[in-house]
Amino acid sequence: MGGTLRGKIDCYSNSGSQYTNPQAVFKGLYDFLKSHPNMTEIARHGGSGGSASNINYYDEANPFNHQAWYVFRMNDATLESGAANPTGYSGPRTFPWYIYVQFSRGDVGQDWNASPANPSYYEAQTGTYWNAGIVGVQFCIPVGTIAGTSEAPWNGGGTLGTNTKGSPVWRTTAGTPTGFQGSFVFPRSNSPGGSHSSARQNCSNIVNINGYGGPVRYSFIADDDSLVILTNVGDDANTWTMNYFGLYTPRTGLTINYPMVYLQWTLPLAVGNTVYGSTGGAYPGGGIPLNAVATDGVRQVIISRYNEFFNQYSSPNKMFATEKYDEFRIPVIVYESPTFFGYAGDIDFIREVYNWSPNDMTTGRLRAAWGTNTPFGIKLTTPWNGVTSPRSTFTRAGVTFP
Amino acid sequence: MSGTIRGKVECYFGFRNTPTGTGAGYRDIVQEVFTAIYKYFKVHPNMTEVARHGGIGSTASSVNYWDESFPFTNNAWFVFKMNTVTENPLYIGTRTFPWYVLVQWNRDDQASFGSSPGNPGKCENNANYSGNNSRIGIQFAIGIGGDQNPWNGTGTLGQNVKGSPVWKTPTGGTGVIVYPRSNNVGGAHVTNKENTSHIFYRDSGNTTSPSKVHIIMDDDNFVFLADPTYIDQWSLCYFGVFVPRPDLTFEYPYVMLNTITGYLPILRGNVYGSTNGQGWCNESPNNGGGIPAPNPAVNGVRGLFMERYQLLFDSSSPYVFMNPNKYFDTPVFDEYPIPIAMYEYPNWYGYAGQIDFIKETSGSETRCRTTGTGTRYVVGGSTSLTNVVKLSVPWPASVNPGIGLTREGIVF
Repeated sequence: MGGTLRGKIDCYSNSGSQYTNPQAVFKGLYDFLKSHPNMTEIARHGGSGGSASNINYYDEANPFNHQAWYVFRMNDATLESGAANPTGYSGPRTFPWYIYVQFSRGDVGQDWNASPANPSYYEAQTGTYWNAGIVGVQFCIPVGTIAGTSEAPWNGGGTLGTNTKGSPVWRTTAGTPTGFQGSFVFPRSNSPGGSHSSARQNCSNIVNINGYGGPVRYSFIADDDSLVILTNVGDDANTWTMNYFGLYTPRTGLTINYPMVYLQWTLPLAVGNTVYGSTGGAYPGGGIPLNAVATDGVRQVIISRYNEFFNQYSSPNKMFATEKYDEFRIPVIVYESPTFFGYAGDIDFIREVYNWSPNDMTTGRLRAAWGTNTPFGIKLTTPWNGVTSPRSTFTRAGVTFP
Repeated sequence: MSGTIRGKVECYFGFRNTPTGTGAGYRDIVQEVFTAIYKYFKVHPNMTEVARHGGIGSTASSVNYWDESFPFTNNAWFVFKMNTVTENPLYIGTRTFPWYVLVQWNRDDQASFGSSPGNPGKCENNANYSGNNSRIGIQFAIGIGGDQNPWNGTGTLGQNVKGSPVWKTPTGGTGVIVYPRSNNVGGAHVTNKENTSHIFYRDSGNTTSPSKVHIIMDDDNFVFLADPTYIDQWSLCYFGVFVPRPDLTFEYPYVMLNTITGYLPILRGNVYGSTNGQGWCNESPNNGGGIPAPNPAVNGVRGLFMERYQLLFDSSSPYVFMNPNKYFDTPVFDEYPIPIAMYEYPNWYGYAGQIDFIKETSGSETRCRTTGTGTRYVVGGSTSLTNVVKLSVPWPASVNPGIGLTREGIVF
C-alpha cells in the first residue's frame, strides 16, 4: 500500500427520493476521485442532455443527469502521457488502474444501456430499472510494455464532458498502440470466458435504491493503490454494500504481476459457496487477474475466514494486559474449477473482526467496523480518519481527510 | 525454530520372533517405542539427559529394548533437557531458557502408572490403570527465572527418583510451567505436577498389528507421529515454538498440542488442555496440551484450541480440491501455518499466534511429500482420501516415506 490515506467519509444524503439519493452518491464519488492527487480524470459524460458543465448535484445547476458516467485513472509512477507522475507515487504498483462509474434513474424510463452510457450492462442486465436509482462500477488494469501510452486501455472518444464510449469499452487488441497487450476488466464477466468479454461493458453495484425514499450513508476511502466504497441504504448500520478494489499481499513464493482484487457484496462478506465475479455477470461482483491477460484475464474469486476466531468467546483478545481486538486479513483465492484455482494471498487494507458493535472503532479511531447492527457478528474493518465518529455527520459533503 | 532439522523416522515395530523364538507382544511394542524415543534423545546434539530410572527391578544399565540385555522395564522414565546457548555454544536459536521433557511407560498388568519408580505419576489423570493396556505418557516443563532448572528429582542417573512435586520453581526463580495444562494453577495436578499426556497406546484389542513412529525435531521443536496399528491413522504430539501474533509479547512462546489417542487431523475448535487432566482427543476439553497465559509464573499454562480456514480444508466443500495451487506455473501445495488461541472461558482466551514447524494442507495423499523429493511430509487421514485435512512436517530429502521396516528407523 502506498501514499497517504485519504477519504470522503460519513456522507449522508436524505433527498427523499430513490432516484436522487444515488445521484448524490455518484456525485460524491466523483468529487472524491477528482480531488485525489494521484488520480487523473480520463473521460466523462454529464448524462442524457448534459454538457461538459454537468458535474453537480441533482438540486444544483448543471447536475449529472441520468446515464452520466466518468472514468478516472489511478496513476503509478508514470502518467498516461508518459510523463513522470508529479505527485511522486511511492507505492509498489508498476501499472495504473482505471475506474468507470455510471448513474441511472428508472423514473426517466431509460434503459441502463441508453445513450450516452452505451454500451453498458448492470449486473448482466441492460433494461430499465423503473423504480430504482443505481450507481454501477467497473475497474480496469491495462497491460503494456511501455509505461504511459501503452497503458491506456480506455476505448472512448470525444472531449471531456461529452465523451463517448467505445465498443468494447476497454481496448483488447494487443499491439495497438505499440506495447499494448490487453486489459484486465472487472467484474470478471468482462474477461475471457465471461458473458461480456466482447464489449466489456458489464458493471457491478455501488448502490441500488429500489422503491425506498429513506436516506443513504456512504464513505469513500483510498490510498494511492486501493479504494473501498461503502454504502448503507436506510442509514440503519445494518445493510452495507462494500466495493473493494485494491492490492493484496501474494502468498509466499507466488509471483503475481497484478496483485489486485475486486470484491463487491453486502456485509459481512459471504464465505460459504459465494463466488465473487460470476462468468454470467450477476452479483456479487468481483474478480482476480491471472498473469496472462489475453488468454486468462480476470477470474472468479472466493474468500476464506477462520471459524473459531469469529465467535463470541474469542474476542477481544485477553492475551494482552489490556484487551485488544484481533483484526484478521482476508484470504483471497482464485476459483474457476477445474483450470483456475488456488490460494492467492491476503488483503490487508480491509480486514475482518468479531464482536465489535456497529460503527465501533479502534483506539485512536484509525479503523472502523461495518456490518450488521448486532453487537456480535462479523464486521469488516477499514481505515478511518482518526477523528470522526461514524454516523455523526448529516451532510452529503461528509468529512474529507486528510 | 533453529538448528538442523533432525529426526528418527520410519521406525517400525513389528511382531517378529526374537532370537529365543518368543514373539513380541503388544506391550513389548510400547516398550520399544519408549526405548526408541530414549535412544533418539540420547543422540540429539542439543539435548542433555537429566534423570532416568530403568524401571521396576532395573539397574542403571537398563536402557535397552525388551529383547536385549538390561531392558527398560515397567514404569521406566527419563528426563531430558533441550539446551540453550548457555549449555551448548553451537545452539544458534533465540531461546534463552531450556525446556525439559519427561517420558514414562507403563504396562498395567504388572503395576500401575503411579507406582514406584514412576511415582508420583499419572497419565490422563489416572495413576491406577489396570488390565491389558500399555502406554507412554509425556510432560514438558519450563523453569521461570533463577537457575532455570525445574527438575525436582534426586538420586543418581539410572536410579533417579522423582520429587513431589515432580517439577519445582527453579532456585532463585519465580515459577514453573508444566504441560499438559492440568499441572498448573487451577488444574487438578497443580500440587504434584505429575500428570502426563498420552502419546502411544496398545491394548489387547489388537495383538497382531505392527506400529510405526516418526520423531522429528530441530533444536527447539519436538514432533512425535505415531500410527499405532499401522493403518495410516496417525496421532500427533507437538511441543515447540509458535510465532506470536503481532504486538503480543511472549516470554515463553511454547505450545503443546497432542491428539492423545485420537487421530489426525487436529480437531478444530476442541480445547486441548483440560483442568482435570483427562479427556481423550475427541472430547473438549481434553488433556492434550497447553499454552502459557500472560504472566505465566503466576497464571501458568492454560488450554488452547487451533484454527483453520473455512472452505480450504472442508471435505464437504466444493472447493476442497483447491490444492495443489494452480496459480503457480507448476502447481504447488499450499501449506498453512496453524493458528492457535488460548481458551479458558471466561477469563483466559485470545488469539496467540501460529505454529510454523508443523502446518496443514489438503488435497494430498497421505504419507507423501509436498513435492517429489521435497523436505515436507504430508500425513493424516487415509491414503484413499485426498479431500481431508492433512498435517505436514519437516522431512529428510533422503528418505522415501513408507520405506522403514526396523525399530531403529532412519536417523538423519
